[in-house]
Amino acid sequence: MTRLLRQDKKTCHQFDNILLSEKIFYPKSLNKTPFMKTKTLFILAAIITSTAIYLGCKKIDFFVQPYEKADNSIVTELRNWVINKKQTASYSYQLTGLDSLVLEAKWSNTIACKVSNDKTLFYVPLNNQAIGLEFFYDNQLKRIDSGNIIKTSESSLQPVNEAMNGVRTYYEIVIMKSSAAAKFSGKITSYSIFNNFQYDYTFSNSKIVSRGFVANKPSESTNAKVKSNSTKAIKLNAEYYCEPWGHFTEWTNGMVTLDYTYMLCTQCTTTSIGIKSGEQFVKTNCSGSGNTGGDPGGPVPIISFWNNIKDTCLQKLLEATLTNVYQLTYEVLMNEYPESVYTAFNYTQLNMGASGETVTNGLTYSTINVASNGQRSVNIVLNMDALKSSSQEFNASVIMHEALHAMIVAGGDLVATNFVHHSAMANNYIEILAADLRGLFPNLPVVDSYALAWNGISIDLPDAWNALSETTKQQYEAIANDYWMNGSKGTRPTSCN
Amino acid sequence: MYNKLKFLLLCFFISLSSIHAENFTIVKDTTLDKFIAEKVILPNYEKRKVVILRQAENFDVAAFLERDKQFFPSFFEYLHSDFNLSTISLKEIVNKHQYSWDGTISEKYPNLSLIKAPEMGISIESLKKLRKDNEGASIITRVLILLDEQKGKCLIYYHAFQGGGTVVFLEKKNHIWQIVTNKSQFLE
Repeated sequence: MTRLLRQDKKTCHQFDNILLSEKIFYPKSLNKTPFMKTKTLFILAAIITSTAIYLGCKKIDFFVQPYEKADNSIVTELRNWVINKKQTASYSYQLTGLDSLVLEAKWSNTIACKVSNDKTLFYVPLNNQAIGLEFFYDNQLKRIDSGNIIKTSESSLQPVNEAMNGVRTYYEIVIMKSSAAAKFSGKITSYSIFNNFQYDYTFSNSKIVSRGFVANKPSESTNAKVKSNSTKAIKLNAEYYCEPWGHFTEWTNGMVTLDYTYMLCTQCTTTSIGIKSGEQFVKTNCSGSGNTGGDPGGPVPIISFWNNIKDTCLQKLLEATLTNVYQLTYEVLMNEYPESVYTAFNYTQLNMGASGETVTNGLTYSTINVASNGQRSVNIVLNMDALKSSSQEFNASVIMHEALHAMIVAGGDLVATNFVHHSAMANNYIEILAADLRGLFPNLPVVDSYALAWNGISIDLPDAWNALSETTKQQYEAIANDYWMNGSKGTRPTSCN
Repeated sequence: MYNKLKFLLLCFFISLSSIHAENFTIVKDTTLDKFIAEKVILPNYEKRKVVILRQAENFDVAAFLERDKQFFPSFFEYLHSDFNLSTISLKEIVNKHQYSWDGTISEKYPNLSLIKAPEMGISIESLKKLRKDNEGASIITRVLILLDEQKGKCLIYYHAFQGGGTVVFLEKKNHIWQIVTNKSQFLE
């Protein structure tokens, strides 16, 4: 009976109607005669049966639709479509990516879902169960309209069917603006066949909860920078540009939130997914020749900055300083560490205490992210306990100070001590740091900008610091202290909005 | 009489607990003390003075390491591979392998001072004053030395006040200590 009902959904609705109709209710006062008793028993039996059938019907909603296995001929066509995409690849990494997809795809497990007379969806799982390939097939013209890489966040005992439910829900709800036949709760993220992020959608019971997209984020800081009076002028290589981007989520109530931002500083940038790892990453070094078009060529030092700061004031300040930080680090990497590989600078915050012997304003440490082709990730941690009550000027100096540490680490100097780092900063970057601080805070007195530039460097008594007069050293230390925790100078975070 | 008996019993239990605490005391290795001073600590600070704060006895090193473990990944890699962290706890490793530096070391090295940290911790202001009073010395606020005498392995972690954390791994080969790695795990 249940199977019958599952086959014919209309019947389910009829039983729904019986259950909800007045017919099954019988006034207790009339339950006195044998006839009435018989009728009551009949009604009770009807209620029990209806409830069982109702639950059976309801179960249909949570039933994972078993999809048909695709014909071998169409599977070959899908596979060839991916291989033929190599002809339109511009870069060698795209060729490598397509080869990986062909190898990682479990072609024999391809499933099909005919959503209309005109359209059939195909889903090919990859070895990583969270990822697969989706294809939109035109039944009339007998050709593939498009194909993408899909990541499904929903974990399921039947990940392939669940992924197809996600693909189908996206097609029916987002593309066709109709109702969803399959029930899907979870997130699907789409990347082009060349592994470029396209969108993500989160559904709850096949209703859209949010849409994620990547877009250029206008920077408020671009006009704030004034020219450095340093003799070591910084110039960007004309081939490259640098701009802030962000990942946004648009919610069903129309609100758009910014999830995270990053600075992209190259011509060739993709937000992609690791085919094996399933982790999303930003790729910015597209070296290697392709079939069409050129490429940047050679090992290029590329940096991206990730703003994972949650504190509003500090987050804004970091965004404002990123252009300066990038220009500072880019030149250093180009000139001193030309063999550097792509590096990500990840800014985060922690509460590490604001008193006692381990107090720190910020620290830098590095990890190697194996999932993303061995790229080096340099982590910069800002101590909220110390910085929340420090001035914006002081905090900006900490952000740039840690970026210089990060740059030296990114250059491959993992062994160098704090003293070596601070000596290098004292010899080469005090002027630049001070000028950048004045650029960010035009009203900052020159002497204060130098005091803040020296902050954190003087601790190791490098030769350049020792060469200053005692009066100057004391003056700089006192000024830096005034800009620090609960000090008397500078713009305090309460007025950062 | 009764009070005396109570006092003797108390002394007995105190001595028992101290015996237990000393259960894992590692034999002094003067070559190691010398090596750490001359090859590990002093070269990191060039010719400047270094003041090392000896931790208070109630300081929980294992808890400190656990809290900030993300900042010194290679320290934990060594703990796993060379001190069997995957099979025994960090607290057990610290109890079993923690090595105390010779308190008289500062007599041999004029640039190196050992000062006992106060029980109640120390303030930023007092550390700054300590630095100033010692000609701008670097103040090492945390040191942990783990020694496996049988295997000839030594793992050192130290943190200087506003000066980052460093991890050093030593191995003894042919009765001579050697530095295998010397890494700044984080920079400030």
